[in-house]
Amino acid sequence: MIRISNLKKVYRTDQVETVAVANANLRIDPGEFVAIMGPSGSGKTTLLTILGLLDSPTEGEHYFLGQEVSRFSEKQRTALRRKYIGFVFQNFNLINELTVYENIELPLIYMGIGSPERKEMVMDIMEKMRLTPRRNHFPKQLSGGQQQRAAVARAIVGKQKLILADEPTGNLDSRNGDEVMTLLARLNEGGATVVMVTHSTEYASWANRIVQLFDGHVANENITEGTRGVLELR
Amino acid sequence: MWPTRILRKGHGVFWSYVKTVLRSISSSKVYSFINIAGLTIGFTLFTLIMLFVLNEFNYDTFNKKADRIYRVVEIQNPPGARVQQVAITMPELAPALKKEFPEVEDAARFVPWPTVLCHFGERRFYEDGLTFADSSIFDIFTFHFVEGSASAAFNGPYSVVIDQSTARKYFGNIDPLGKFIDIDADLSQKAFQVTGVVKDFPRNSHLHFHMIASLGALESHLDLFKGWATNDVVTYVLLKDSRSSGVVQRELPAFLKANLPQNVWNGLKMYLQPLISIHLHSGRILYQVNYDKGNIEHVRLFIMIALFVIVLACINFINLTTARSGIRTREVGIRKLLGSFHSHLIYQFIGESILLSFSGFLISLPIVEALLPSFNSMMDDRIIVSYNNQWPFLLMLALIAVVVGFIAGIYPAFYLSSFRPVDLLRGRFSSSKRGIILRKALIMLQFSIAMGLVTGTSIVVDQMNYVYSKPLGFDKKNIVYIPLRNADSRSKIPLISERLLTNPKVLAVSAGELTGSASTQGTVLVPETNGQSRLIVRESYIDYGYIRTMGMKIVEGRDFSMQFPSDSSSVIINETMRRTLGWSSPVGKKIQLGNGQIFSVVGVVRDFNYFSLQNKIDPLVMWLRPDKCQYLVVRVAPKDIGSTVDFVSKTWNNLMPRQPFDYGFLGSYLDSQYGNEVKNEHLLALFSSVALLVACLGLFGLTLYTSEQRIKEIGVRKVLGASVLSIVLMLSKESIKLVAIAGAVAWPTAYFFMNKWLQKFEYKITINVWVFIISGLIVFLTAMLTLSFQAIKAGVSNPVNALRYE
Repeated sequence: MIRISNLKKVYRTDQVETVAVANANLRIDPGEFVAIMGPSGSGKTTLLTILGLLDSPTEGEHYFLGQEVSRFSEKQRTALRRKYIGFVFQNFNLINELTVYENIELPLIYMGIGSPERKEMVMDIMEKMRLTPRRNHFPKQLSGGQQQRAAVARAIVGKQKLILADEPTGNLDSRNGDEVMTLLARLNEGGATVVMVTHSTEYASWANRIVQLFDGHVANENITEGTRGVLELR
Repeated sequence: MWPTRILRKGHGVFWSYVKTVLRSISSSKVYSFINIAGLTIGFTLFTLIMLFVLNEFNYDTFNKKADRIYRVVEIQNPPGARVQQVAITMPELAPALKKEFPEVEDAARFVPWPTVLCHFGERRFYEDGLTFADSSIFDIFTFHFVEGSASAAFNGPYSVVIDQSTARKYFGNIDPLGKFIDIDADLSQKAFQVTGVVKDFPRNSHLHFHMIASLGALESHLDLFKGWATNDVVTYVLLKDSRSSGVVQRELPAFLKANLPQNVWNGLKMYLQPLISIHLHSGRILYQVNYDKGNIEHVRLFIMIALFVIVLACINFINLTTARSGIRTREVGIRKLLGSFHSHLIYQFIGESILLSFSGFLISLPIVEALLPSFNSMMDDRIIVSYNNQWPFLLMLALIAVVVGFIAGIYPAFYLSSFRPVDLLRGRFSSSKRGIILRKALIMLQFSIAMGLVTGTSIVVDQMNYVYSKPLGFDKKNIVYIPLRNADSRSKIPLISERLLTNPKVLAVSAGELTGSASTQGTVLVPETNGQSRLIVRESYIDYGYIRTMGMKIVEGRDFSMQFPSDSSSVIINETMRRTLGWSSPVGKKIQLGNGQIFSVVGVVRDFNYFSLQNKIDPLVMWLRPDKCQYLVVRVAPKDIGSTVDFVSKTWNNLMPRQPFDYGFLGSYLDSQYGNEVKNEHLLALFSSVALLVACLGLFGLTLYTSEQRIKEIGVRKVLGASVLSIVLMLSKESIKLVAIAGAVAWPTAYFFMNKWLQKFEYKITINVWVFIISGLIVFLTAMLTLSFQAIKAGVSNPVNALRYE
């Protein structure tokens, strides 16, 4: 599903050049559940933005669903993102001015799905996520766990194949954290590829594979249960 | 193109935007209020001003041939006198122009007549809308004949065409056509036959007619309205082609030289003034018929203020939106993340801005509607406007609202939509440094405009106060005047004076001219002087006791007196005349009229203003000529004026039963001389205060936001031990800097323009440095007030709360 080789990302501010990711190589197959770990500043988030087609690498190759996307324009990346990628964040990132229903509906609108079909899909996912009673609430009226469930619902409502989660449990207590992890695991069982950045070794162990980053390199890789990922370490 | 694409997706994207916009408006009520209120006030003022301005520009345009009609204006420049422009000409000019210039299709002469007594049967009224004119007036200007016809109107010399309201006034239900109306114009025949009835002339015309009589009636009786020697008629020409005015203009000097007698031609020039510019561009013309004369300078000022207000509202919007962008960045990031294109977001934000601007416009409509009656009455009903039949105007305003929304929204749109979803993952939602310089520049501009407006307005107010309180050289209070409209009434001046003075509340009675009205100008010869043998002077005809009654003062010599029968050949001059001639002891000096008659100076009157204070005092000669006095002036005791006027009225009616009593107060008459000027200046002050309000609104919003933004900083400083005062000072530093820079921009600009404005007054204030300091203080204090409020609130609050705020 994803293959990156010799990937490099450099940030330039006025005088400082920061290498966030250097010579990273990684392959993620469909249906994998990958956890990315590493200390602060190791390039986890940068890697996730590139995998999520939010940013382009400075150098290297990036294949997504068989297409080399590293030189795609913003517009091309947006189109791919719409269709295939869902995001879950530590701080949920719901739009405060829209209700739970409207937030979940938003990606479907951008995908151009018609209104009746949209309604069906949103209601369906809300039911699964136990959000139906909250459909007309605004994010600020929800608990953290509910907000994150809504965010997960939004990430998968369009049947996205790839779920990118950035510290999805970071702002949640253990009960809600467990619940979100269960959701992700279930999604993975249902066929979705999940890539999750986390600091928690416990939650990382839910994944099939743990990728350790250090100073922008892929430093280590542990296969937790069954070897589905193929590691190319350099 | 984009809306169709969006709409094709089942309205989803579109409604999602609308929902976000509406909810973000309602969730940040203060800021939305500031934005919408600013825009609403802006559009209200803009609409009112535009209605006024359009009305000013529409004067005389109802004439179908308006673009080809010109008024002839004379530039008189006799040696030794001041140049003056007058819109009156020689009677022979119109026929000569028509004969000698192939470009001239037609020409017409007008002689506007002073108020005159008219009657039909027992219905008698004083008419101030009588004009004698050539019949060609009906071809040149647009009249709508209800009865009779233009071609047959002036077949006989004693013909008169009246308007519908005059017809109703005199004839009621009787058909006026063919009836005779008596016009007491001191002509040999009084009866004029009504040969036509026309629709009332529109209000937005510089000419106002109620009765138009044939000029033939004057010509057959008065030599004054013949030849080249006199200068008493108004001349209009209709050109075949409006483009040929230049040709006529170029050939005028040669034409004048060839036709005018040498003594008249001396220094005389003429030009053609386009009809449509008469209303607004006649400020320099001293003698003219020009009802509701407008002032292009004021119109320009009004337009400027209208634009300022809109610009201020736009700046409010741009500043508040970009300053508060941090709040929207997250939304932008999420939308992009979920697959929104950059361009969609630009449309969203521009759409939001247009929506806000348009709602401001919509809210302003009923407000304008509600304000219009008082605005109209403030303008003396000069604008008769309603929204009926105003669709093009409303459409134009709506379009302007959209354009304003677009302009105000375009920068914030590009600014906001440029945030990248990557920042979402990095947790950076605060507004970036970008745009801060622009925002500061905009605030600076806003401060400047506000300060400029405060400065300008206070100078206008100062000047008007000065004009009003300046001693006029006479006492305008408690003077009742009664027009003397014919020889009979003038002959009875001594009799009526005697009767009036029997009442102790009548303090003094005399006759003369009304100061403040245009007195005539004549030439006198001054034999015994150093070279200035000819002098253009103002002429004033007065009766015994006029100077005392009016509260004027003799500064040298004496007033006219019955004890000196020789006073019929005496004159009184003013101080300016004495100065002009350099006479140290003027009493006994001689002046001579063109006909050789010699007068000797018996007294010098203190200078007084006979025109508005925009005009300089000219040399003045007063003659003792009761037979030429236009007004009876009565000084009454300040108490019980009503009953005194009743007494004057009864006395008048007893002595002159056939002449209805008509009177006025000199004070209000003089105030009406400033009429439009004063009204316009009041409006100006009002409008600029509103503009200031809009600017303050923006400053309020922005300072509110700035201090909210700095709550964390304030918290940190407090934890480190800062006092409330030091925090207030820290927050004020920025504002002080901005006010200083704004002052540096605003003050010289305001000084330059206001100084220019003051130049049109002969008597003017000197601009005081305090005006600038105070304007700076007002603006600074407005900023400080809102800022300190927030700063103190933040300063005294528990720093832990502030820090937890993040």
